Amino acid sequence: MLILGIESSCDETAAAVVADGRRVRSNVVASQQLLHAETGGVVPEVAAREHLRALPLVVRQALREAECDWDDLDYVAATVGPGLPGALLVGLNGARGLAYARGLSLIPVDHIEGHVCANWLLDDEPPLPALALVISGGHTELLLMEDHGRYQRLGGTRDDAAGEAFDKVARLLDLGYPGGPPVSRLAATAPERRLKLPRAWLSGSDDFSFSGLKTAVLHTVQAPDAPPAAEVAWAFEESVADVLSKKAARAAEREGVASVLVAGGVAANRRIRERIEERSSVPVFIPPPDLCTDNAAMIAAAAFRHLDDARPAEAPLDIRPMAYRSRVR
Amino acid sequence: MSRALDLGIDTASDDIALALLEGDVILAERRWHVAQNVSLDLLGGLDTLLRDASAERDELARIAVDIGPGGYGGLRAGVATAQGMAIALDVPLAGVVRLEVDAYPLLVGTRLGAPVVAVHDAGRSGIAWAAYALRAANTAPETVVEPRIGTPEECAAAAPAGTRWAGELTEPLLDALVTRGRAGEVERDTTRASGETGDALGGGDAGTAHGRSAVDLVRLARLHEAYGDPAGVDVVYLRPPPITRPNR
Repeated sequence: MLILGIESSCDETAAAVVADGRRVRSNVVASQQLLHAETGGVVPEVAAREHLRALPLVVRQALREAECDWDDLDYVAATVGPGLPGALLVGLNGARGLAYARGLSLIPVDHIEGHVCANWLLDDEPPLPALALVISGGHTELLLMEDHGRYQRLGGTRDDAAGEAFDKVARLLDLGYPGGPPVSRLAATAPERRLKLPRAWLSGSDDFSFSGLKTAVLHTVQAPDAPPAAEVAWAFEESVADVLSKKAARAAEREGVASVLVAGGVAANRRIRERIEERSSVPVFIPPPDLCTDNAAMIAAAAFRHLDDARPAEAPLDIRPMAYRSRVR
Repeated sequence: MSRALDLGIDTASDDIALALLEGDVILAERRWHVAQNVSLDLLGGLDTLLRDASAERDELARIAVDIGPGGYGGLRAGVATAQGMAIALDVPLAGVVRLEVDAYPLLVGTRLGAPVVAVHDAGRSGIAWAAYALRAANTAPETVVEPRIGTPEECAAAAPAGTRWAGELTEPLLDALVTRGRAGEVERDTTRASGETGDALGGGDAGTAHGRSAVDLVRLARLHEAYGDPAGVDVVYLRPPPITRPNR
């Protein structure tokens, strides 16, 4: 079964063809990162305009690379939320137009669930129940995944998403946008590794908070005896990795899960991956970087688990910018 | 026998318009008002349009879509839908400027060469406008003044003399035209392209606001021979994106 996935929730316009929810036949992403680097972050209106320009191109390329024709496709799937309204609107309407023209049914997909389902695009299938940690520029979510489509939200960030904290710290250190890769590169060069920045444990809760850490970075770099930027970057990354890995490990142990799934753009961070793997007592699954950042293969993978949600493309369907998560309790 | 049908999609305003033509024959038209969300039932309306004409999806040979200027959400919903359909059907797509669509009914009823200015309320005290003229019957209109945005006063000052006005003539624009001594150019019942009856290709409509916009879209796309790669069709933006530079 072949599903064409479409993703446009933030600043990546993506299309992909996935077979049986497991095998990636193509995975095409047009990133707007260079465009948004000029403004130090995603400008929603700029993103929406670019999605409209890129969508036809990525769709064509995804079909070409998958070596499939429209007649080979069984479904079209698209992200309906959460995300930027103008950005979601382009992807969903484009997907509905594609599906309608070919008489294919459309499957609406939750972006967060898409990230989790990227772990089913790996060689080994994760055992369930699982603890899913979704960490990206827009989201930090800790979910108990009992089965496909059955999630319990254990916690999430109370302020900045983990990736957002990386972006803001990168700005404080004049490292550009997006912040994750340059902060990590700089951290790796730190000669001294003694600086300790605060960790928000929020004991008794599975929630996260990164705003205090961000403020601590600001005060540290503004101090008269500020340590070298590399050491600040190292201490910041260590703090984020420490909190994410310990809280995920604790929740995994408490819930008695069979695996830990990590997903989202921040999961591409090597130190965070290493810390989570070190501390987890159950197998950890982390997609390769191109399936961690926003992509449409994950949307098609999630859609495969929700074929019962398929509907005629012409049936009314709206974006859900704030939250879709109908399956999350 | 399979037919070669033309589809017109107009989502530039709150009045959605769709039309299906076979040659010069209008097979079906649909118009409805949306309060907020264009994308919700655009395809539902399109599906009804095809049913009304007993048409199959694979009979669509060309699609024309309104590319604005207008409300961004509605325009992007319309253009994305049209692009998706055109790509999946492997048919060409044409983008037509909304102001030309608004001007067209007046252009075909005006002496050749006389300008028509189409305007619409762009919000934030802005008027989007452009001027067109028809040089010969059964040809594409010529753009005399490219689409632009300005204050009502700027529009009243810069519009070509002796023009006729089409589209959303707002009170501030009417006031500005009176101040400039141009009130005589305006037919008071001319709001939102309520044009004159009859046009070069037959049809036409004196009717309601933007009444035949989807039909006129198709006609203009043909006259301009604008059909091409769907990926090349984009919305007309007269304002830059609002960007706030970071403090640090």
